[in-house]
Amino acid sequence: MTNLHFHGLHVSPRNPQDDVLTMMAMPGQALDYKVEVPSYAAPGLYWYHTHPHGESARQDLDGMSGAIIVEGIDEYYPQIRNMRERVLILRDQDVEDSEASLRERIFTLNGAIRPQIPIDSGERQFWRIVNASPDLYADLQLSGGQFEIVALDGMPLSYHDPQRSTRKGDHILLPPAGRVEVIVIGPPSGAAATLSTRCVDTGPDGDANPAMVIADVGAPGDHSPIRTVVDSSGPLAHDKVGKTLVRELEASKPDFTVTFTEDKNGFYINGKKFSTQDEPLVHVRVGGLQHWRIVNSTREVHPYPSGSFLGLRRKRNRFGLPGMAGHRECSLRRHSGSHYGLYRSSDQRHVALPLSSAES
Amino acid sequence: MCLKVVVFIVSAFWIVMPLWAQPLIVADPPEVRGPFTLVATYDSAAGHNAFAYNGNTVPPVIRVMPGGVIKLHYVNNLPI
Repeated sequence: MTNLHFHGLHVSPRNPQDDVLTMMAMPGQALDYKVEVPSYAAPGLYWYHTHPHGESARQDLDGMSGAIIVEGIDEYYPQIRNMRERVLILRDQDVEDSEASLRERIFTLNGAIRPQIPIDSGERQFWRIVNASPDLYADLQLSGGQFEIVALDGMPLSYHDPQRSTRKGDHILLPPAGRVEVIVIGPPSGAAATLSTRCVDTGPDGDANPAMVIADVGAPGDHSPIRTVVDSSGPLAHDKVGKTLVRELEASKPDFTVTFTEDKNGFYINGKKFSTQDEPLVHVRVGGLQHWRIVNSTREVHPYPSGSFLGLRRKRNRFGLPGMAGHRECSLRRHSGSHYGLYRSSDQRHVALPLSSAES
Repeated sequence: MCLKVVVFIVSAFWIVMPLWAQPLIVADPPEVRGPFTLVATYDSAAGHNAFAYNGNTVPPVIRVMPGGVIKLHYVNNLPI
């Protein structure tokens, strides 16, 4: 059986839209999706993948995923209009090391193992990268270069802060389902450069997540077309939240505290074993701001996608990870750590947050 | 003697060959901007499940405007 999830889009969870619970196609059957993207959707990179509970990890590992682009990011950062655009999809693949008799999982880029990304010396390109692996973390770095970050998880940096269009980083942590949109500059002529991931420590119970080269960067030649400027997507939307309100919320008692634990039998939320049949734990009002406390009491890192919620501000505790500051849909909870967040619900009506929303 | 020459030629070819080999350039995925059909299928060549679109097992990038609609016919052709 199979179905589709439109990850990160703030759309209805009901049939025929982003319904991963009741829409299901058995072999020989078909589903018709009609997903209404809101006019206020932040322009940027999202993705789709299969989501039948119990089978989605295997199907995602098989590469049953793709990118979604909500147009209009060039209105937030017009400098990208004359750049070449590349949509780069990280997936993972099992490979066999015959000498060591080991099976390893490595990243592929657009389906290829260590391809070359053509870019001229000094050329600025706009890369839109999604980590479509079900559980490999990428801590991306560009040898000899920096990333100029335009958007994280489909959210232009200037969406919440018009004064801040980009920021630079030497490396970017991209958890499973994470997306980043960056400007990169071609390495000097003759210099060899690579796009790679650093080793990520996912905790005592976490999976191995070694460093590896993902692609070589710099070969000129077969170029993608220059990015085409799309029709105007309308007036720019900004979601500015007053600093006073944010401070008040941060100082308040959390509206919702959720503690995650796990053992060999499964995952637990506030001490109760996770089940897709459970009733919602919390109800929220559309457009409201809430202060949540999220506690990870397991011994491994877990990404926490917040579905139809926008993470507005986070306090990082001593377990904070590099590259995680800013506004992200998907936060990382370090093992044995906790995390505070302010979340704004953004669906089109009252929504209940089913526990299944915690799945990616 | 003849065997040594053969070994030398093969070794030299093995060393130099990568210099001639064309690098694998990262491929741009196809794009869709309107209604389309996506098929879940088993890719026997690759030995695993896959999305098929337009005759290839390369999933497309869906491009949509804010306020737009993604219309997608999803067919499950996975084996039972």
